[in-house]
Amino acid sequence: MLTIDKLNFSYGDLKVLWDIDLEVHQGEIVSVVGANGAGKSTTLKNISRLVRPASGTTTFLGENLASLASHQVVERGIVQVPEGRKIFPEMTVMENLLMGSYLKSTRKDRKGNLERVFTLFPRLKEREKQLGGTMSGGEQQMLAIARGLMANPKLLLLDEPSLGLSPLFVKIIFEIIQEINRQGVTILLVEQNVYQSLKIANRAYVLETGRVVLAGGGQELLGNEHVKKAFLGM
Amino acid sequence: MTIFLQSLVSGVLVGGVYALIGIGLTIIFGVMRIINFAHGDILMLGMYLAYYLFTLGHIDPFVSVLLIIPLMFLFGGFLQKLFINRVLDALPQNQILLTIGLGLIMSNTMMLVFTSDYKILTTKYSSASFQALTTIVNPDKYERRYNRGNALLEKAQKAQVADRANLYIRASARFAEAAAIHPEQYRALNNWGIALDGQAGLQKGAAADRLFEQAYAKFAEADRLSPDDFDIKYNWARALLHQSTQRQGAEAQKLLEEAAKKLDAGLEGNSDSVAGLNSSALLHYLLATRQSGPAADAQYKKALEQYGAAIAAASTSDDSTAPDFSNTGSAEAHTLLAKAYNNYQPPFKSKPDKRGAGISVSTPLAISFVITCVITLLLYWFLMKTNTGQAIRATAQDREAAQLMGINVKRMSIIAFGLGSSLAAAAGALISPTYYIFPQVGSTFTLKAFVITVLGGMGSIVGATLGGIIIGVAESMGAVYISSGWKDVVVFVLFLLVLLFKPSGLMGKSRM
Amino acid sequence: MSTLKKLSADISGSSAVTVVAGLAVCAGLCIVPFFVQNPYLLHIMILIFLSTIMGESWNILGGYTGQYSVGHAAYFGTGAYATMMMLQFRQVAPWYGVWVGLAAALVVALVIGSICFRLRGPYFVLASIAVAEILRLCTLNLPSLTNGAEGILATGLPPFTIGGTVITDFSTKIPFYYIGLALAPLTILVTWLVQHSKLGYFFQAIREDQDAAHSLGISLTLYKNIALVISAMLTSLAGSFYAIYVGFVDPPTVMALDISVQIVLICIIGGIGTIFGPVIGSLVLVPLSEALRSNLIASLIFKTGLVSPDSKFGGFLNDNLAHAHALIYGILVVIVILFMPEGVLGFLKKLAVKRKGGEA
Repeated sequence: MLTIDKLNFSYGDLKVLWDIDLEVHQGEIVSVVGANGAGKSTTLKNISRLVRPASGTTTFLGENLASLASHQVVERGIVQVPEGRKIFPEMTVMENLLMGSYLKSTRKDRKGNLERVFTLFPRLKEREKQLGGTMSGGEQQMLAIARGLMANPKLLLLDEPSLGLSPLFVKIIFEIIQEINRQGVTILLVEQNVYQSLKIANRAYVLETGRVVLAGGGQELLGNEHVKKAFLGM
Repeated sequence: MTIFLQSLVSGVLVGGVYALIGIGLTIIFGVMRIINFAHGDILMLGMYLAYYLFTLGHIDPFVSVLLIIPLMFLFGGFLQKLFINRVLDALPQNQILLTIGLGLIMSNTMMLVFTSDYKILTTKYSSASFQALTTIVNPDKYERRYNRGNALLEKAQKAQVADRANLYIRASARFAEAAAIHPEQYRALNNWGIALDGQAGLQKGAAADRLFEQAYAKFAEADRLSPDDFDIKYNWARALLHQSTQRQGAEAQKLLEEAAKKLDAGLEGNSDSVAGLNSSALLHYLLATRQSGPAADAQYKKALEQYGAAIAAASTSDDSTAPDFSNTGSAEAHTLLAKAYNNYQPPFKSKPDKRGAGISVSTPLAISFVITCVITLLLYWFLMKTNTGQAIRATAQDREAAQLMGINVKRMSIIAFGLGSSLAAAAGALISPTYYIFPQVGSTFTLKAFVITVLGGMGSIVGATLGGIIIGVAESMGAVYISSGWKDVVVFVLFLLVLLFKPSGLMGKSRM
Repeated sequence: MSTLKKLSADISGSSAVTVVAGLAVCAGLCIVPFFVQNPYLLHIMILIFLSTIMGESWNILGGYTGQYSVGHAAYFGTGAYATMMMLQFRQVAPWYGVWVGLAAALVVALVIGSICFRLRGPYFVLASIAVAEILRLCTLNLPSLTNGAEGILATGLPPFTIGGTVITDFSTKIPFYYIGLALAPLTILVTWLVQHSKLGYFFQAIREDQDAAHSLGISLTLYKNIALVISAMLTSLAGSFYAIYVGFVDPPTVMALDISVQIVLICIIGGIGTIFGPVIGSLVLVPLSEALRSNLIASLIFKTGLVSPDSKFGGFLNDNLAHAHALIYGILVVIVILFMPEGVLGFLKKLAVKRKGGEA
């Protein structure tokens, strides 16, 4: 579904990604794990075209994304839920959700999608009229995911969804990710919570200082000695 | 109390238009984080559009605003697409400088095409006003200052030359204050012009020219307010005549011609004014001496005609100061007498103004306030309820997240700049019946727009609305209770205080 | 450490050449009045000197310290007004009045600095404009002190004498030419000294990253104010020079926003934060805008024969082109920002580098 081939990227003179190869198949949950600054979020930004790669190709459903702008990538069905939620603080929960289905192609599904996300996150239904900026971190994360779902994603990119959340919320979020995947949405998950994300992943990649150092099945990597040592403290 | 209410009402009315200017700037800043230094110049373009649609197309500015809004929307979008979009990621100072450059191009192009002349858009209702809140009080601050100014002016005209300057300056100040209280009363403006003319006569060179220009501006405004008043045109012509004595050659001739034109226009409805006819004769005589051939003959003829009329009028006049022309024969002799007569200062009488009790509300300002309210409400509706409006707000709140929602932020920027431009231009059209129109008018409004947006909180539309009204009221109160010269200082000090102590503005938290 | 040494060696190496070249240019300029007596040409040279002084002064604050003041008219006007007020109201010769101007600019700068440096970025820009406007309005509204809107007209400069010998009575433009020729290199020298001192490194550190500079223990308030004071005093000097040369000041000509903008443009067009940027900017801007102002461009167009001066369009050009000399500022700044954001100087350097690269 998504294929990244030899992606290189630099911020000015600082090279952050080196020859990243990555693949996501239809229906999968693929996790990218690694330490802070390993280049995980940068990889997602490259997919969403928020930044332009130095070299390498990214293809989605057979189409090269190189010439597309960010908003066109969304039109193709790749929707990113960014790190730090980035919900619109001065808009109500409802307005935030409606922005998720801003694209013309998704507007006709607005009603159905709203029902769908309110079933997934009943709490958002209660807070419909509250301003986004006044909600708690966990609620904001729910809103950010729900907003992403409003765009009818074929591939959902999740950037650190568990960051800064209480253990209870972390558990809820990971359950919801699996639920979304069961509903047929392919998921590319970037996480520092290595254990949880490997546990739910079909396949996973380990990034260190901008390079893919390990790749394999989620369970397989959970048992990997290097992963155990570096990330799980075992 | 009347004065307070009066200045509050006119402050709020003007503030409504200011709010429109501020909202335009705040939308642009909100979406692009760019401070648009060309904002006032875009407003100026709106004024010129309104002016030419009125003079050439006979479309009232309050109607043509409907045409100007979409036109300037396109213009703004074009500016964004062609210029601003290229510097969105550049240093903020470069963005500022780019807009400064665009503003310079706009104002100087207008100067190139339409010259730097002041233009005045006079509609039927330009000087109209109506009474509101009919309540109390007559001899108010305006009257006191106007009368004081007249007393000083009278004193100045009789004083020794050395003492005149000071008296004229003090008289000007009183009239300025009076005019600030009731900008629609032409008498204060007329007498202010006389005082400035007096000051100018005591100066030389650029300093004199500047004062003359100021005097002309006052006369022009007074004339606009009361087009049928002979005294204004008479005083205006006299000032032009005074300036011409400081000039030579073609420049002097041009001034004399201008003076003769003004005076003769005034005489059309007042053919029995001895002083007027006499001055007109003098002007035509002076013009005759500067020309030769048939042109000179025509001027001599006109001069003699006017003398004849003056003599006829003087014989029936009960004005004891009118000189006796009966024994004069040649044009030269007339001139000598006329010169002597000319030392007699222009007549001005302080007639009480016919004003009812209550607050006088300028009709054009009231109409523009209503239109402003409609535009603002439509804008709110657009931003809150439509998809595109919401996308603009989303872009302002988080540009990156907006991109991830599939919003084309470059397009939103174009729309935002178009909106901002059309609002500024609409404001320009709405104030065109009450302000002078000239290419450099923009910079004042750019500065005001900054003050308004910072006051309300950069990027906040509610804040800009509030900021506009506050600035309008502060200006009008400052003009009444301090002085018109210091009203802008009040505004800028307010601005600095907000910048220093509440830099997020009054409504800082609520962004678009 | 070794890189620092290498850097300073580089600088002194290249500056030796620059100093020699600069001295040669100055010497050449010194003898110009012996060959050129055309007052108009001298006038343009004087304006170039003046514009260079203004640009270099702003550059210290805006270019090296990164504080984009768009209110430098305040200091220009302070210098101009102080000198003229001393001359007309107190009969003090301008070469003494200048010092009053400098002292006044120092005070004004410290007051403005204490207000504006609490703010950053666009807010600083807006505050600098507001403060300058307040100063202009005060000048306008205090006629008892400043003569208000009428401005001050110099009724005659006293001759400049040393030990009873009259050096000059300022009857031609030549003495002004030499004053300009003395002041412009002086400001360039001051800029050079600032840039190559510890002060300059602090300034540039503040420009690159205020917070980082602060965390390194550089006092932001202190060094921003030092930069402002140097910049303001030099600008005031330019103002004094302008006032004596033109012989008339009033608020719109020496204190308006246009002046502030013009000062910034000189640097932007030439190249910001470089020693010779303002010189280049002045060399580009002054002749161009003067050519428009004096209708030289219009008459050149007529000479080409493309447009007849008697045609409608020709008459239009003749009447109006001179009014629009500021148009050139607008067009140039847009071109520079879009196509050569490093200024003309930076653009030329880049071209040179490209050429060299091409040859090698």
